[in-house]
Amino acid sequence: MQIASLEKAPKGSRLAIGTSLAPGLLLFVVFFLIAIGTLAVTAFTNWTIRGADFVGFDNFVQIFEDGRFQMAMRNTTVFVLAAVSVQVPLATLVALILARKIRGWRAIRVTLFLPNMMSGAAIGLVYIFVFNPRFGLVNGLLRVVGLDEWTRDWLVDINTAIWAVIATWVFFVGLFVILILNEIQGIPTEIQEAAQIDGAGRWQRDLWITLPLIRPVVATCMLLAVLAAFSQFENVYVMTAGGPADQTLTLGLYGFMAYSRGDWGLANAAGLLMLIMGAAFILIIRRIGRLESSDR
Amino acid sequence: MHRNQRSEAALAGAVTAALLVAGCSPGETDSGEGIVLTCTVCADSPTDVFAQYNHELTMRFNEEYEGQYRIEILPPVGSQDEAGEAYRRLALAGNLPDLFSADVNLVTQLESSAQFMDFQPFLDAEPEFANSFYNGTLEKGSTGTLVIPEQRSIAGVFYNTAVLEAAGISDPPTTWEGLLAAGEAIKSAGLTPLAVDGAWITVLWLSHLIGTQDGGAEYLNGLLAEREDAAGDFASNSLWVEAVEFLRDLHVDGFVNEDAFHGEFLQANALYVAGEAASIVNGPWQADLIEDPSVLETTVNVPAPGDGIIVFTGAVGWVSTADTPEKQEAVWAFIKFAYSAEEQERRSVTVNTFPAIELEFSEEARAQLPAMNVALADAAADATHTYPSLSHVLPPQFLDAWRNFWPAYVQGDINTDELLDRLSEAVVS
Repeated sequence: MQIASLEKAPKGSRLAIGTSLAPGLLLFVVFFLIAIGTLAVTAFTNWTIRGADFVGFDNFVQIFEDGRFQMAMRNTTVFVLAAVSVQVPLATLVALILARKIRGWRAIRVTLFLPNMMSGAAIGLVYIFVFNPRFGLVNGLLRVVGLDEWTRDWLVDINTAIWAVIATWVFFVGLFVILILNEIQGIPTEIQEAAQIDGAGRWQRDLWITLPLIRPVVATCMLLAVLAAFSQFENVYVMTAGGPADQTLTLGLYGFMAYSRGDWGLANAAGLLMLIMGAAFILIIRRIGRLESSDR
Repeated sequence: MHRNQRSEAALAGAVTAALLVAGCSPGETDSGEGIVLTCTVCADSPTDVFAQYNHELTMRFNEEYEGQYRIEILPPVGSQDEAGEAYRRLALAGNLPDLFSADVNLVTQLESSAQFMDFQPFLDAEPEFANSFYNGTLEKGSTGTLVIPEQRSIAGVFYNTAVLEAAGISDPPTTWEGLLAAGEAIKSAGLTPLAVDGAWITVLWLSHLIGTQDGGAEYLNGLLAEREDAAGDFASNSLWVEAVEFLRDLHVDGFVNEDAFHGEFLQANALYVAGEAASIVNGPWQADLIEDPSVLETTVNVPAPGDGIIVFTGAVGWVSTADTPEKQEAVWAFIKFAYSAEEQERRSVTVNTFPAIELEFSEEARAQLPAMNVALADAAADATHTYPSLSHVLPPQFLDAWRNFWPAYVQGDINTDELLDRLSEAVVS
């Protein structure tokens, strides 16, 4: 029996539907809405272990005047740009190649997805050793090929730290490859065949047929990548803890540091700002990617 | 619903109800086992000798006082870095254990939301026991909570004399100029003069550099005494300026390992124990970290250049939130048990550190302790300068800021004033 909407559902079904939804709704209210509400309220207080008093916008003023916050904004922006300009386009390119069913494409797809199953902290720990200046893989390879002058302490050098951190996640495209590849494989073959008959080459078909048709999923991947880059925390914390000299400090770390020193009101104010910025990102990307048209 | 499904649903409901009841049961009952105390630092640990000793101490106490007192072992709250945060959350929830370890910084933070047991009346009632603690080891939080220190550790510098000999050096340097000369020779021999980690070890070197200057020991001991006033303008303090600039030059001139900023003690330690670095700074337990007998045999533990010795007066100690006279008596019984001569000797031998109370080691205990550590402890009484470590007298934010800005300073991206201003800000925040 198809139920078009709850209002049109028979009474007995309405009860069953409501009962089924209740636990999920309860969890949503308790672990999300109440948490967000607490965040929003305490962001306007000077909440510490000693108590909380309403301070209005003082926390936000302090945040915007803090040079470290500005540095965190800059670094997070760089992370987001890396996700937008490298991670998703690379995933799209790889998906287009894998869609041609090259030899071993299934194995490649699985291999690309493996890092997505590891925690960011574990990846960070591995890369601490990869970038170690004394015995790390990167410097080791550079020495082998005779580029000793390029060796350095990648995670501590003020010029390379942020790029080294970005390099630890920007090439992990497995999840996006799978999503995009799935969409490509869902395109009716007749469209491709028609274009082929008309003389369109492989890359022409990818550019003028495939890419426009997979725009919604690419936009969705862009959204996911941007939000992930925006909320980067665990691998940065493990690898650099925001250093050297705040060169890898992210918004998430900034809030965490405020929380660690007991300034919970300020930490929640930073969290509220991140929430608002994240929501803005979602709206912008949905508008640019014209994802609203997919909702209808 | 099918009959079997009804039965399964009933069984699932019964199991769930039983689990809920079990989970809501009070965790601590006096069922003829006397007063029960909870402890979060008493669980066994195959990797942490300090934790393992506490566990064995707890087992011995429970056996000794069976039927009268019992310590219930709760799961540990996390690593040393995580513990502070965990205890703050427990304090807010009114759920701190009866017994745990904390340093004075943490106790000061918790005092506003937790009621600690006051050890003073118990110490006043036993002046001989109270006076057995080394002067200054009984530290207090800002509202007077006493922390009973677990140990008194002494740190000079560990040198591998085999590495020194390979560089043509017969004795460890006794002056900072001597350290530089020795360092040049060690570098020429293709070895690393100082194994550092950008965190624990580096800050110990910094403490030595400050403490061995004129007025340095007094300054550091003053920070220990007036903990709340530890914030200061480091940039205008010549002790700090001289120390960080000298330490920076050691890095710039190649006296340290390539990965000098990674904050991983074990990485620096690996260099030393492999015989590739000439020196390392650590507490007396460093002797247990040298597994190679040949390196252990050639290692000496001597005062830092300038004849300075760090004395970890206090650091982490026992605190209690016991709130009834009966529980407080039980806690005091535990303290007296833990600080008996027998237990303090056992602790010193097990974890390779020194007791917080004045204790004449038996010949048997002295024989089990590494001779180099005993020699340094004996030398501490006559050292020109003795002082605490900066890690101990400054709040945790100092080390976070140090790890953040020290690499940039050494690499010339910020200057001395900027580094010291950042460190000062972190201490104040």
